[in-house]
Amino acid sequence: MKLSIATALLAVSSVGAFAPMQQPRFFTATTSLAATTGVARNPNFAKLAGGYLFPEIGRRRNAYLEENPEMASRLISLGIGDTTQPIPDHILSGLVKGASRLGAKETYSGYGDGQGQIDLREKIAEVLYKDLVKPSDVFVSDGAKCDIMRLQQMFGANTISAVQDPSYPVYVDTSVMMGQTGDINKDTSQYGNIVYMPCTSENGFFPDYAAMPRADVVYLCSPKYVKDDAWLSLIVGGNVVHTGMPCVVRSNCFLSPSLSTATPPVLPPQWSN
Amino acid sequence: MEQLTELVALCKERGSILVFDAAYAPFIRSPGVPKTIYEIPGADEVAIEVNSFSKYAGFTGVRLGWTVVPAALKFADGTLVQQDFNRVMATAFNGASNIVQNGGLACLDPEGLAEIDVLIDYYMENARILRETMEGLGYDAYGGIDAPYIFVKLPESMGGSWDAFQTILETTQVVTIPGAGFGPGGEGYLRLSAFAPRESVVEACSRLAKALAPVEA
Repeated sequence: MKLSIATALLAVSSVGAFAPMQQPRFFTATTSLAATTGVARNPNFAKLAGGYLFPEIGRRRNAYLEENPEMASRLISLGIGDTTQPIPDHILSGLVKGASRLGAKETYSGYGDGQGQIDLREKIAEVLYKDLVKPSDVFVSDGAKCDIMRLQQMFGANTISAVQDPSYPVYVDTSVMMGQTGDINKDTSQYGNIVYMPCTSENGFFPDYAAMPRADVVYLCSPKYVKDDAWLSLIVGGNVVHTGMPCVVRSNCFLSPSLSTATPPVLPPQWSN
Repeated sequence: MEQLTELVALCKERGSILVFDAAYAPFIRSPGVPKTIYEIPGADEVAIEVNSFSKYAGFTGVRLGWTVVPAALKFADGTLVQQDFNRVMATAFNGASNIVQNGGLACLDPEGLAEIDVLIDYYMENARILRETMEGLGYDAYGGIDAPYIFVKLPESMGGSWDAFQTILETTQVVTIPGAGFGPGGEGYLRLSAFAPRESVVEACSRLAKALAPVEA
């Protein structure tokens, strides 16, 4: 029994967020398994169109390597933004010191403040924010992605989120998990009840929230895409023209092709499955 | 700056909360580009900022970030957003690892900040190499300035971005990210990360230059 479930689980490999859905590979815990629990699956998770983007990239890489094992040593990843350089000495010494303090009775500490150590909150406010924020406004955590989910848990199911398109997949996926959205529209690859703000050449690659319906929560990635030494080149009719406007665009998402509300995105045929 | 000022004003007018993801802020080096939303006057009444040490201190595996929830930010009924976020953290989180928080303190020492600058220089030089390689092939490449990613416009002959991803993987053994992975608006683009080791970036550029047909201007 256990073996059959494990086998079924092993066979599961989900398709990526926004990945072409060539074949449904979702794990459907229904009568196909010999045994189920009586717990209904959270319907919000059933709405998710596929696995998280970056694991899907890894899955495709691994599939390629399985077929071409001789290429393993040639593989170079310019995919996920994963750091590769070692942690420098001074910063590393801080980590080592933190570990060493746990080894002495005088410096040992157990549970800490849920908001983070006060000295770190103070230093973040002072050094990184030049006191634009107060230490009490700073909540130290295990990462931005985790905090986005925590914010979503705080906002709850009855909020409407607005995201840049394209954007970091976490904003959309967590909105779906929380039950804020409707089902995905297979034609547009967009979920209901999410406000997608196109980042296009027409709007200078900055979302035009004013042109969109109101949302409760607007997710925006730190602007950092500039071109040609901070001068924007727009693609107009296939030609690059310099507008003379400084351009800031978002980080994880990037510039989108020239699509507007009047021009639906051209999707690969697989998407219509 | 102006665009963010307008967005903050619009959020205030519409009663929206802005969640500003500033995880790449230290990569911003162009003058006049805000590194935090709180540089915008009035942002403390509408904006939450999430941030992280991951990308510039090499903490992707170490795990340390933070979120700023200003005391001036309130829900419709007047409740402080900070109060409820504090409740989330107190209930479902016991704070970041004490070991790791010591690493965070070291990051913010003058020595740590200098080390971060060196790391960012390294990755941004990678970004420059990638951008210039793609531009040299005639591709329209965005990013790589103030951001450790390059967004490359794909010619239609390469098909959709997932097809281009697969083709490039098979012909050059370089893993990229299809723009469509970031939403339907990203279709037609390919993302290259600048976080690889230098020698890998140089080698990848060499392979891409050989494998990709130059795009005629």
